[in-house]
Amino acid sequence: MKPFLIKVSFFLLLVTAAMLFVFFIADGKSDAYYLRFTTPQQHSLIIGTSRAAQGLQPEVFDSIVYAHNEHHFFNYAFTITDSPFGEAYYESIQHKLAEGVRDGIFIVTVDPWSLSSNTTDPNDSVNFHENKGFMGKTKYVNLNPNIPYLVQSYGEPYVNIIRKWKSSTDLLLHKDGWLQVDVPMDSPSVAKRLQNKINDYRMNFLPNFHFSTVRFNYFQKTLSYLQQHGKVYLVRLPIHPEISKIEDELMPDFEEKVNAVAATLHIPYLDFRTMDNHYQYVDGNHLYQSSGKEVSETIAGWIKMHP
Amino acid sequence: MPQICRYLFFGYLSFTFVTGRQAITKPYRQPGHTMLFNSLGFALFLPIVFLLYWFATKGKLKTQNILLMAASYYFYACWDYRFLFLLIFSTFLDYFTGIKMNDAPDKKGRRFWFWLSVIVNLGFLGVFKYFNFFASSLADALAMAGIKTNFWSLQVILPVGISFYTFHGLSYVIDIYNGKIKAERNFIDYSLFVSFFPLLVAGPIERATHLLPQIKKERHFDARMATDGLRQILWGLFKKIVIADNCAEYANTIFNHAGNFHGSSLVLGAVFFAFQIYGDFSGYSDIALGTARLLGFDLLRNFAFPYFSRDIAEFWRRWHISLSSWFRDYLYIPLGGSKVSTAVKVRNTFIIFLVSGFWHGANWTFIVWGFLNALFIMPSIIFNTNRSNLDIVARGKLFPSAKEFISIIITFGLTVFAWIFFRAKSLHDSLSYVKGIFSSALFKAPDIKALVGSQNHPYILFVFMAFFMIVEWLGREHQYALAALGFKWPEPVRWTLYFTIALFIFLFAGKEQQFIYFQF
Repeated sequence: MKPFLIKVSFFLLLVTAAMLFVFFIADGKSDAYYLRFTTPQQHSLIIGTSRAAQGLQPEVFDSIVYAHNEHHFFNYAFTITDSPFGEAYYESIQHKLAEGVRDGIFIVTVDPWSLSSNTTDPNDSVNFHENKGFMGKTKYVNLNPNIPYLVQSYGEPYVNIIRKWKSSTDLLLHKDGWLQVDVPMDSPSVAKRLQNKINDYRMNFLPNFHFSTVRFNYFQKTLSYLQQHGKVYLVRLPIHPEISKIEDELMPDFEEKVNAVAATLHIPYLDFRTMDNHYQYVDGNHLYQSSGKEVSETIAGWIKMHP
Repeated sequence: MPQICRYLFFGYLSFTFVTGRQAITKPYRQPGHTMLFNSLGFALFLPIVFLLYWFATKGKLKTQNILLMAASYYFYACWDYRFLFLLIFSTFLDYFTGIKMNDAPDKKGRRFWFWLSVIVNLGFLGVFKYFNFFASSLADALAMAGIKTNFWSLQVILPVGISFYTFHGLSYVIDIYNGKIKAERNFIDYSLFVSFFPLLVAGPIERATHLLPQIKKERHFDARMATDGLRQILWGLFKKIVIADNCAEYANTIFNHAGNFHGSSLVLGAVFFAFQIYGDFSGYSDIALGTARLLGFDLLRNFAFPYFSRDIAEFWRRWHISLSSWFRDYLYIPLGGSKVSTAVKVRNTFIIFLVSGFWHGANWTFIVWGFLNALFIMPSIIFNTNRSNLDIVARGKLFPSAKEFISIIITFGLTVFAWIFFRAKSLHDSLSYVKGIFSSALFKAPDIKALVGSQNHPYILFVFMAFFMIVEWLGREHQYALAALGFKWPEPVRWTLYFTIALFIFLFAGKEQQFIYFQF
């Protein structure tokens, strides 16, 4: 028995060492989310979906809002599938926010999709998609390396961690949580991506998504929670006018509802939709880096005006 | 429309009473998320059981069996604790009727207890597995006759492993009834025979004549056997995680969007599924057998390199052996076996394959799959050549002869064709799929580009499939492919091979998929 156990233990040790090596080299290229779960708890957060994840650059906010301060912003926005308002995201935000923070700044982005659900019953919170994904599964959001995340939620073969490690990739998640996306920005490429996105939203999203009272309640709950820890700013990010039209069809009374919440909770609200045409998008839905920087600067300036 | 949802049978059955045959609620809980053989849960469970079994029991047989029984019930409860009651009831029923049959003073008494057990066992299987199928088929038939039905149908959860443990129990009572074995009077031993966790949820379907003596015999740790068990587990994990799970992603993409793919891509999809189901089920069986060997048990072999078969008869002697032999012993032979006229043999063969198809699931696709296999095997039944390929193909040689190679390819092609019906969601889907294959684009190159996503690249998978088939071919004369591979090499080199396979499993794992046979 003893030689058997020694041999097996030695073998397992080698395999475990190889696994740990791969887990330790996982970084911002590994996927679009991992690094956000490896940093310590944060003081000021950017909340939302992929529009915020790609569009809002913490570095810009730091340079303007925290120019004379040791604090930093952290982009804790993910995707429409994984971080719409709901219990899973609410709890994750609670875990990510440093304890005892009272003077944080929280930029909460909102759009009709993040208040809707594609479940048959939009209020069937048990079956919300994010519960089954990494948002619902990742209970430890401040570990480095975050082995529970890599084991339970890493959505690709682990060989990709090695493959992407030393090579350049389209997606780069920065340590401050900003997701940098590098795609060709020539007109035909942009037009093709825009058309695909419009088709996707019109054909696949619009017929299946419906306003969810549960999500709307969690939206308010998230705002109230963050208010206990500092100042909250509500933002609707710019998108391509064609996608904006689809959003209006999904939720015609969006502005009415959000304005009411903002007024009730005394939260400043900035709606970029009148400036949709001012910016460059990679696919109509996500701001291009330079436009993201502009929007971040605009929001930062607006925050300075509403201390 | 009134909808009434309620729990019956002490709350372990989720019934949805629905009018108009439209199920509204989902099953109370989907089984199969907690104790997969390739899960972290099982990776913790197995070493704990192993260490307790060999160290804490101090070699005492009774303690070992109690521990294994408790571990098995825990293992099953992890799937769905409510169905544990059903498993215990089924165990108790067969244990009790077995003793009653054994002690019955006359044939009439034996027959009574025998039929009681058979009817209750099959009754449970019928309710849990086939009720909806019969109800919907009846409604469809009436609708075709112009009669609209509006009766209530039940949505019943299929308890994991029910087909397997029911067949365990049935073989036991049939063997007692036929006087092959005596009834087991030790409930713990009998219970362990039914619920032994490596085989509980997806077989192999054991026989009392084979497993019960092992349960009653003292077991001592055998390092060679345990090492062999680990090797088999390693190969099983490779088959499941690298081959089956990766093939599943592409097979799912192609089968779920069959309309978007042309002929050759659809053929590729069917081949992916053929590899998926083989990797999945034989991988599961390897892990089950390997786990049992760690605990000192030898389970029945379930697969013997079926894709190297030279005809369909040989394929069925090598695929899901424990089920095929079960049907042979308890259905085919009682129907007359091969000692009857050709016409009766043909009838019996069709019966066996249709029942086998139906055993797999309550869907017409499985029945057609069974029917196709019966058709494919017919020439060898009619011309009495079904036992012409009993030996291992190209034994002792590196390559098969041209004739053998062509036979293998033809048999594989027929099998792949039948798998289309097994995989498709409905008969309509399977027929559309077949129609799509024979389109004008059959001879175009498959659309590999459409398959590329975040998972392993198809070309990487092709390399693994080739590696897999080479290792299987080299190991075809043994119990499993890796059993003797590299035994003539220096030990460090052989262990490097095992380490490399373990790395492949870790690095190239496909998206986790539930074992296909858990649904049966």
